[in-house]
Amino acid sequence: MSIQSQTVAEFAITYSRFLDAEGHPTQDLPESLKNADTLRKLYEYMVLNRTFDAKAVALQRTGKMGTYPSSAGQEAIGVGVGAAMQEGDVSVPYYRDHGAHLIRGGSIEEIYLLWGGDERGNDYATLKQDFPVAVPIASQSLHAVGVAKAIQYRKQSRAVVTFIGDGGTSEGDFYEAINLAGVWKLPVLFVINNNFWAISVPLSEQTICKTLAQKGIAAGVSGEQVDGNDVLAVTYATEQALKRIREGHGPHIIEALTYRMCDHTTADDAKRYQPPEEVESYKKEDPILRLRNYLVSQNLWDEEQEKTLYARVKQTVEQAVHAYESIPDQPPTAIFDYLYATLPHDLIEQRDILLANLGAHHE
Amino acid sequence: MKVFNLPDLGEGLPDAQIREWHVKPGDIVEIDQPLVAMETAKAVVEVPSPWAGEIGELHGSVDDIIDTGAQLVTFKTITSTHAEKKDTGTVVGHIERTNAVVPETAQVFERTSSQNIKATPAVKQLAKQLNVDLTQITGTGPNNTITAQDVKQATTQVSAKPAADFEPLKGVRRSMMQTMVKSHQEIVPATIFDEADIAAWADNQDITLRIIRAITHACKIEPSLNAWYDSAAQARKLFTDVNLGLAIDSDEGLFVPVIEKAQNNSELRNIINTYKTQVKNRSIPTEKLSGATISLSNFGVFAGQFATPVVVPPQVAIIGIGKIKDAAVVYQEQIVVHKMIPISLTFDHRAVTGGEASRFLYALMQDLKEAN
Repeated sequence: MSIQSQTVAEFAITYSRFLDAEGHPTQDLPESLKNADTLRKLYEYMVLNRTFDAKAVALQRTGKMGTYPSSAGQEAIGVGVGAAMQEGDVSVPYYRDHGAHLIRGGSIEEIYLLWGGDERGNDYATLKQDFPVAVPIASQSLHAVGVAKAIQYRKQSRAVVTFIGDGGTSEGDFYEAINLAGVWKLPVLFVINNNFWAISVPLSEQTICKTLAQKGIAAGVSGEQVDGNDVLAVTYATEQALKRIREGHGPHIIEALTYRMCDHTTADDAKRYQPPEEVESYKKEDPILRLRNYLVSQNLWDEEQEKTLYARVKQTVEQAVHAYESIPDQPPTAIFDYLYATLPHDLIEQRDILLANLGAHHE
Repeated sequence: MKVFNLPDLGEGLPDAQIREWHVKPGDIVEIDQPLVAMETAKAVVEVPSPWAGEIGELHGSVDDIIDTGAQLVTFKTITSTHAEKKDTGTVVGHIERTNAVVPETAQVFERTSSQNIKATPAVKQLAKQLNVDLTQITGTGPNNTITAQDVKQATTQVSAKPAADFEPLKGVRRSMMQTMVKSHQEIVPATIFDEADIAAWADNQDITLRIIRAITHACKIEPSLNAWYDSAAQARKLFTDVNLGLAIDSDEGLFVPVIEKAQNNSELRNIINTYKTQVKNRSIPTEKLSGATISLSNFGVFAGQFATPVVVPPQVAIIGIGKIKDAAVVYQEQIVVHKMIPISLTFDHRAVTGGEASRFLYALMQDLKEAN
């Protein structure tokens, strides 16, 4: 017996890139990416990202910072997305997208302070509306939806960008967030850093979905895959998506394919589970190397510029370390002073007792 | 000179083990240059140099375990360093510190009494069904919430009560039960039996004192049985002093008071007599009941030659002495009647080897055979 049926819906997920692993263009570059200064800026921020990141690991290893999650090998995602965002957009980050914070004008010192356990790192000097780094997995997806709702309610032409890892897309929070974003047509972009590892869980044990971008289909949210080690692909896809989002066309998902060329955090040892041949095979995919090869081939970059850049970046990072290490401690009363707009009565009492004790023990 | 102490390489790790040194004394290093590979419970991590300068001393060799915060590398000279947190040259004013502990209080709002009850709706419903007044119950759940179990217990205690003709264990007997359970769960016991020929003994030998002397002699020859074993840390500690736990029976159960420094104690007999009286009178001070490094059980008062006495952790050995009796033994190729002391030695095989136990027992018996 044969049953008659018709296809009522069809879906496809596209994948795009502009540069292959060697840095050769795979297609014509869009106008916005033909500007030499734009390209050099992307390159410089990826180098800054990797340098400040390696320093953060060294600071942890020498007891000067807490646990830190590196973004080595994944710089094209944070930097590319951040470059495509506008000042009025809001970033709702997790912990492997510090490149976006930097290229948006945030400081390295703020990031060091945060991972050094100093909440002042979350008090951004410039990006006042960007959110603090979310360490719980996928909680930021829902926060982003909330911010997007506020922007929509105010009828503003702004976009929210939130980041998440491949493991995070298995969380209920993520599914709930994309569903609500879809149904309310909210101005939010979900960027998935698919680095194939959720601590020690490989993507193959995380999901049998062929892509993570397709998770949006069930929520009615458009999605695409890009080469996450091609900063040009990331930047362009984000620019296009944010343009549509700001115009009120609703949410979008970008799944950026990359690889975690580092431990999950400084409290992890990826050598215990990442197959060495797999790690080796991704070394030639390095996003920084790739863009440099392209820049050199276009005569936009030379050895002299490279040397100058690295010297400058080293100095920038050293200044940030110095600022981080020499920031004066906060007074003990600070533990009360930022919790409430109006401090409750018994906390005022406690604060007074603390002050009195400080006086009594004054040396 | 400046010392670099081992930082916490993970999240609250107590120590790390040296895997490989990348530098040696006299080396000139840069900031962030790898100094050493350290293995923690979770990872092998490269520890970079916090400063530029000359290496003075390495505080440990490969495989050494270094405590977090302990010295790792001493730098002879420092040529460059980042600002330290303490170097607050730019601070305006003075940061005050105090060690005083300020009591914390919760903000209390006025509530009606029914709101004060900490129980889930399901538990409240159960209480209603069972006619239990929740205000009369002290919760045992998190933050003193009242659990379903608490409600059930309030209505009936049957599940926690023994059957009518059973008597619950109490006091010393209950304490014995707990000690034996702990030993059984933890220790890997093995027991060796032998008999010591005491035909050569001079008159008026104090049997208990001779046994104690023999034990302390054996502890000196083979100290690995006079020891504690920490199973959590998988580490043992050998003692020079023999603090002997002497098992004394009572109607209520077993007491094991400790004779301190039994190897060198002229008051042994007085102490033992005092302990026996105190056990009888229930007046033995609690502090005398702990700290034994090895134990003696003189179980053969009425009967029983050999036994498998139970080692009480963290100790690793116990000597059991059975009933002394006349036995037909071969002595100088003749069958003769000699007095024999049966000895049972149980040891914790996790911490003590069979060879050590056997050597200990041999030394004990040699001393016991002496005339006086």
